[in-house]
Amino acid sequence: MKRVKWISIMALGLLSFQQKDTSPIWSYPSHFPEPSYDFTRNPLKARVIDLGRKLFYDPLLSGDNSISCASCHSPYNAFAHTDHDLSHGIRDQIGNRNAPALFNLAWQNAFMWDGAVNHLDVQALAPITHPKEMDETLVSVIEKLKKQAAYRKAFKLAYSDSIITGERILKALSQFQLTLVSANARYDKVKSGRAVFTEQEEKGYRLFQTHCNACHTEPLFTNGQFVSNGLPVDSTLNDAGRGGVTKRKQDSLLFKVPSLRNLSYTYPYMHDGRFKKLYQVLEHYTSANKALYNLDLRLQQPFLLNSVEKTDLVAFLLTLNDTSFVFNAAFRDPFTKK
Amino acid sequence: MKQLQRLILVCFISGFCQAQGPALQFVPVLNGKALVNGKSIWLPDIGDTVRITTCRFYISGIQLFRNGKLVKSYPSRFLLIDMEDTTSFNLETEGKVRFDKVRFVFGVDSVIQSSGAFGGSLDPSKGMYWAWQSGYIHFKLEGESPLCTARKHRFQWHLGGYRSPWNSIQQIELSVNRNNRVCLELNDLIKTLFKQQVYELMRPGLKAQEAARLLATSFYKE
Repeated sequence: MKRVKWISIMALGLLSFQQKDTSPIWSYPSHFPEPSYDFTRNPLKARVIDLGRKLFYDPLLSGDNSISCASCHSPYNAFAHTDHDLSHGIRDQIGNRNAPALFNLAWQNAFMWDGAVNHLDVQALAPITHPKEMDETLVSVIEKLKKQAAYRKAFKLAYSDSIITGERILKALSQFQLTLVSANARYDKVKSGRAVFTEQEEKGYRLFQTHCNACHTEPLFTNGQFVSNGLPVDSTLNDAGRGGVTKRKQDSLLFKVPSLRNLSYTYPYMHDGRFKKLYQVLEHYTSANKALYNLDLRLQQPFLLNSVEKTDLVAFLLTLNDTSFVFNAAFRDPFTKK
Repeated sequence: MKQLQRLILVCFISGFCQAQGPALQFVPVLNGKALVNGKSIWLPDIGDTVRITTCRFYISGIQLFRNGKLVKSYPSRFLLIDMEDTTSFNLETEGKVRFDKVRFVFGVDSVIQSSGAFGGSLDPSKGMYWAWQSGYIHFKLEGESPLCTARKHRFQWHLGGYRSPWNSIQQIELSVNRNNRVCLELNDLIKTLFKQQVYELMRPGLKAQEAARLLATSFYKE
């Protein structure tokens, strides 16, 4: 009933849009839970999404106009920063973490590896203002956008007037990112009856449900919680994770559980990108060699897998790759000439 | 003739409206005096001068009472008081409201803090939002004093925090009426933090919470 109500609100929002609206309507499959994002406060509109897409790909958002959101969140890598353990930003500065992949954000309640950001609408402020990422201010971004006729026009199309505010910039960025729904992997096709797992994938699925699903909970493949999975502290970073935000000992070394969707595109893995290959991740979880401080109770004992089982598990994990998401032209750089 | 009558009526109404003025004013003061950007003020309590360069804070959730009964509330009004803009001190109302008590939030409540981006005085571009860790800065005071041992003798206090255990949101209640101003005296805060040699507060925590609680006792009617 709730979903029907929500869809009705969305539909009303789209109907109330005065101009011709041809962009795809946001949707998600029936095996997904209710999104947690409050769309009534930021109803999706095609032209706001278009504006958000432009902003997402525009290096104008950085202090020296060199870095865009997409610099670290590439569409071809499920909006992750592939091949870099630690993401790099403005003036070739190296950050402290691996930029996370961006998809299914409507189901997230906390953002960044440590959950320092509490809402999607304010998430963009963190990279925009970080001295190692985009090193810019929202006020300066507003001033730069005001000088561009194309943006004045885009804001007018999106909001009926050309007034450019921080709220509008942030909400437009949210709208584009909310459209990044990854729900058409082989796994999803199996769940919706459009495909069946192979025998090997089926075996891997059972292993996954036994050993991984408690934290990487399907269908989003994350439970959205913060846990320590026993990674030894990198002394060159000394990243306390969630503990750095809450200043509580019990939160030290906890990081947000990432989704396992699109794994083939989002390497390297972990908050500091320390594992380049998926087999290294499996080695970590099946090894007894873990840091014990705040180690999650579910990981106190390593789960034992033989080589065949590891192969089966990987076969299942590969069913979480959503190529139609990764290669969706609607998500690509709007400034690139076709 | 009719036009003249209309003109007189308009003048009368606009004159009446102007005479009404804001229902209430929230005014930051130092030693009882209005803050003037760039002006050094001698503070006997610290034995030196202080020059305030920034003073901004949020007043929200304003409720007006008369004889114990709520007569008017402003749940969606978030005043961003800025020493550089005296018009920001004003709580404007539609029509004349009579009251003998005001209740308000010093800061921004936790519901707003966890509901995304807002416009108007809450727009993150106003410089009162922490980007690196979500949350509004309830109160910002920056200035200089020869006594301050921080870089360039500058002190910067940004008080925020809405989550337990470092929630710094304060509820204030004062007996006031339309003829009063609600003043926020900054002297005690400066005296206390200078004595503790705390010249920089930039994140939620115990010090910020204590400072916010001290400020909550520094409101008075004038």
